[in-house]
Amino acid sequence: MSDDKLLSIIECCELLKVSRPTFEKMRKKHSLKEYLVGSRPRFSRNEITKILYSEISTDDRDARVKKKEAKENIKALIVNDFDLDKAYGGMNIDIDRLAAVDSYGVSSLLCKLIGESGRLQRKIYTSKGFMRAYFQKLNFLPQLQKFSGGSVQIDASMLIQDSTIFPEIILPISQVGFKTAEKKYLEQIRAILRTQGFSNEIGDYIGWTLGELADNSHTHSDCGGKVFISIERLEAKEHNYLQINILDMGDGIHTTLKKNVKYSNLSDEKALLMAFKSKVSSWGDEHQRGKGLTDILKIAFECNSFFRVESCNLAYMFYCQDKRREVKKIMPATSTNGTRFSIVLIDNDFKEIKRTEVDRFVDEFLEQL
Amino acid sequence: MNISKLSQFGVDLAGREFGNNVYDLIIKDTTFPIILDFDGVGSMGSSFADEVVVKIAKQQNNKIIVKNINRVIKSCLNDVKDETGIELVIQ
Repeated sequence: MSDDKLLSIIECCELLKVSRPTFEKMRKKHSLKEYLVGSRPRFSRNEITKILYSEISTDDRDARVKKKEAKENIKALIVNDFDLDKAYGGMNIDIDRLAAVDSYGVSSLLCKLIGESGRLQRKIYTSKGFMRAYFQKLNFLPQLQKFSGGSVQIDASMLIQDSTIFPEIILPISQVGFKTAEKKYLEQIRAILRTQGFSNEIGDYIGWTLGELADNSHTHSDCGGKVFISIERLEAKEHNYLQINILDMGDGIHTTLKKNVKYSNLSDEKALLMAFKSKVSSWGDEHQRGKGLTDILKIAFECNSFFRVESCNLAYMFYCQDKRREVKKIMPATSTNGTRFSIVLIDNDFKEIKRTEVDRFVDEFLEQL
Repeated sequence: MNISKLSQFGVDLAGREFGNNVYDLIIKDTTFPIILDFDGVGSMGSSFADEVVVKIAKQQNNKIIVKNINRVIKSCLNDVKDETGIELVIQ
């Protein structure tokens, strides 16, 4: 029990992502041992984790193992080029054609399909239980139905219910429809993270990150309330990792910044990077704005982390780590209008970084363009 | 000295417009000088800090006293201090 932790029934339900009646059934089925703390029953987190994996069917377990193997090298998913077009075959979208996909890829596909709605009639389907379950648990279908205006037909194959549990999905794709709407999710996120052994600080950094980026989406771009967030836990050896995705369907960072005449002559690439400097904003200097994206870069440095940013058809990776400080151009997951972030926060020893250092980092890469 | 408990406005404080609203609410019910108590607050963004911390500091000789700040909030406040030249006192 030395590396174990005792969980209450509520915490077990949160970890397993099941209701209390379902937990009671699982408890009987697996003869789960109770540890009494006072008069209250508690359960071993290690034993609960074993249940998680035993509840998965053999086929799905194989698929899950493959996904886990892929996720052990998290850069394989976050950093590599996503090619969502691979799923497209004529007017059909076969998600089985995606070799690998994570919550950011699913969110990007959602934005791509919403962006195409009204212009094209498409049909989406799958034959793989694992993919179907992953898309379902990420809340992809309800969001697609809500925002695509019926222009994407959802094949029955996407709707078959699947019992696969994805404890790594901390927050499925959720809409932040107006300013400060992200706050309603943060309490829930913090509670889950505590149960799963994350530090309080990582919850604070998530609050800061989502607060800044959701506010940016609603302030600077005409996204019509189409702002989507999701959080997924990544499996890695040394530390706990979290992937925080926030995507909007506004004008994109570089397009928005260039509305300020001071930056209107910059190339799109330069405008996108320049936006991460402090006091650089689409609003005039007299408003003293332009701190949100610098905060994001600062958070990434303080967590020794990295992130992907996409602005319409442009995409960059920012490596803000002791071992690697670099900005690298990559292929976007989609060229749909909007701003899309996937930030990997690492739950490790946080260190304070000054905004001036962040500005210097951006300047170095601006000079190279 | 008056103490304003920021947790009444939420655990995560971000956004310029939200900060401006919070500033109006704080000054409505109190008189300067004010101590800002961050007990129960997890994070604060720079824009929010501009609208609340800096504006309050300007009302009290460019000085702000804060208490119960965590590392994340301290990091933000130190940048605000460097950029604006306000005097930051951590209790």
